[in-house]
Amino acid sequence: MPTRSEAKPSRFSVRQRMELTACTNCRLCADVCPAVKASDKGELSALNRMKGLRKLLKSRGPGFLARLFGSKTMSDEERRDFSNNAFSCTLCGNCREVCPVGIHLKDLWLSLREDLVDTDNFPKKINLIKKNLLESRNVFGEDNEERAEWVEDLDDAPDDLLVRDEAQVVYFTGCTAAYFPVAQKIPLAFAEVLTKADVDFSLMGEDEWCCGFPLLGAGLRDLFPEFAEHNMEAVLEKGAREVVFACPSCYEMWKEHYDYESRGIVIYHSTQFLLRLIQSGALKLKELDMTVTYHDPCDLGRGAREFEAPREVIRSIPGIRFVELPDNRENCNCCGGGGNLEMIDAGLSADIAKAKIEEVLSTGADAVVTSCQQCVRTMLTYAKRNKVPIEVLDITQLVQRALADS
Amino acid sequence: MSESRFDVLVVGAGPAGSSAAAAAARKGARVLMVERRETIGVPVRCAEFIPAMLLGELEIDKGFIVQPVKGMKTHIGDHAEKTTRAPGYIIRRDRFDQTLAEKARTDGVQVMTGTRVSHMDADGRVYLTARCGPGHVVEPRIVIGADGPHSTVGRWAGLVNRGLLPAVQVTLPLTRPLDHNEVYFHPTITAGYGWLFPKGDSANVGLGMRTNERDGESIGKTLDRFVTKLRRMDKVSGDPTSRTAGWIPVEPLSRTVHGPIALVGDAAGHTHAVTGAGVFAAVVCGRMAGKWAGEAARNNDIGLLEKYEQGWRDFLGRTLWLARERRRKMEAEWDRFADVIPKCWPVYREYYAKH
Repeated sequence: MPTRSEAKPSRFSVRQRMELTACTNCRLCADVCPAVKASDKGELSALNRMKGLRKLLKSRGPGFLARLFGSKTMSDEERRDFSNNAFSCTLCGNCREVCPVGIHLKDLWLSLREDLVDTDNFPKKINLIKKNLLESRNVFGEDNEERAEWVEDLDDAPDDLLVRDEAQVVYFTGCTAAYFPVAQKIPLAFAEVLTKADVDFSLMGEDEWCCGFPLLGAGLRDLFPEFAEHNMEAVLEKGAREVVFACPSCYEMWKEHYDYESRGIVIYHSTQFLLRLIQSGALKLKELDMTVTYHDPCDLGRGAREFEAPREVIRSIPGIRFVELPDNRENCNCCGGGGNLEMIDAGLSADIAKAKIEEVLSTGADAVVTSCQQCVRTMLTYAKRNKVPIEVLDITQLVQRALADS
Repeated sequence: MSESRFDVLVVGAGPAGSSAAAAAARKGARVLMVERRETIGVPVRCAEFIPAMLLGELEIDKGFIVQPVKGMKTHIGDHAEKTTRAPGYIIRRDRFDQTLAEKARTDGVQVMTGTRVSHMDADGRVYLTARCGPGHVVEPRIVIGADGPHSTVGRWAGLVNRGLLPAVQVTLPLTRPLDHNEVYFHPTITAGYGWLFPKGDSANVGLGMRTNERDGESIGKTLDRFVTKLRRMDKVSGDPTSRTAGWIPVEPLSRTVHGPIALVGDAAGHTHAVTGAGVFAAVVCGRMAGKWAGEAARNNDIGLLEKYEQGWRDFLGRTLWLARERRRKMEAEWDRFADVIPKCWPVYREYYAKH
């Protein structure tokens, strides 16, 4: 029976096919994998997934790897197991960080997911992501007109609900922050901070579509260009030239996959934008008497390589004591919230969050600060369910708390 | 494991860890050594040469020796440049590590394999995760991190070494036996070198180099080319029987002791930044770390760990710092390849001259 993959061009580039043979089985990827550490299942490691991928490609008959190693067969059950394996990953990218031979593992996992979707070999929950995004333009299938409804919870909610005809800066909220009550505290905080600093900004309301990140994570890359085009057009329609994101995944998505520079758009993550506001004197901060640690979100840190801006923001708050996590910056452990893992294996996601919270507690900090709504949501959910006495804050919330009274 | 109190917890059962654990135990300390792998010494990530001097230091069974080596032949570009006397042995690193760990065990160290350290809490308790069976919490007075270039223990102490160089290696059949290690410098092996170390009828062939994410060739590809070159020179034949890769620390940490934590071996950056050699330093510094950890426990004074910091610096500091300087030079001036190698490779007199 022909598989659908034979009708489609391969999802794996020549480089990726070469990389499949480059693995030396050194196991460093397994040592840092949050899924392996939380579950003690070595089969979730990059090392093992590479083996499975080689087998999968060989099983498809005459191709590069089949010619190299001879073809092998793979039973339906093996295929299903392998597909589950491919989606049991937070896409945190730590495997890629430590790979001595420099295999671009995270890119490989994205291509693999695309391939599995092409060949109809994926967890059926992925269909939900597709349906939601195509029908309602946000990942949760909510009414997209309600994207800015959280604004009503602002203390002095303006009549225009922050959706303005024109503005210098667009604040791209992202789906999670727009719809999840726990995460809505972040745009509420950020909007207050931006207002306080007299930034001429606007939300996009229903004209904001999903950034497309869940599409890549779900192996649905083909659907992505429409979303990117729409979002960039919507920004330009506001007359805006700057876009700011509190969500690192939206930010990284734009940074890596949007052709924004050619349209004269400049993008900032909230940490970078906050730092500019603080350094320019637009934001006055008061003293905070607390000890905090910082969790680097995977997409902002290992992804977009922004490690210092959030630390400088934290250090610029008077009185605050900052302690690093044992594993920080490019070594930071994933919170468990990435890669759509929650939809596929909520238990594993929670186990990863547990390890993260334990690491946070080991620093003795009063609060863990991060700069990602998904990290906040994942860590906070775990801490609340298990009554762990730790505060979880987005950096925008920390700055909001430090806003000087005027 | 019923008991949770230990004087010294050693993390990692490589040469540094086993040497440290044994030395601490010989001082009368109660020592637990944990190793992440089920089997000590596996996978081997090493070119497997030890200097003859080290062998004399070790009072253990020598069954790990594969062959003696007389010295080293340095090739620059396509020329065999210089042969240097440097006696030593090619060993089986897995058996070497296992023998050292066994020695530590007979010295009284409790050894747990398949056990990972997850974190240390604010009170200094260390959480262990066992691959089989339940986890443990232990309360060590001193922790020795001998857990490699990406040291977990080092991160607890904020002592993170970001000066690491990637290396890859394959094992290939030798066309004929060799009695010298061979080292190859080539412009394409950026700020590093390729090695061919004879191991009986096969050889460890590998390289360590700076890679360039943007426009550089991948390290695996560079190794493939190097192997092709050695095949053409009729040094090796056939296909690789095993492959491995890892990271080589190329600068020592500025501090290796922080409170009750001491780092040793690759975790401390106790490797030669140019040659990558590290086993000898790991054993010697491991012993020092273990000895002072034992003393510190016995005298209830973790301040004594400073003596370890001082000890390894006195013994090895100048060598490691000079190597780090030479590596920096090599990286900065790699485009003047022929000129820079003699200044940066320790078989040449220029290496030791003032630059």
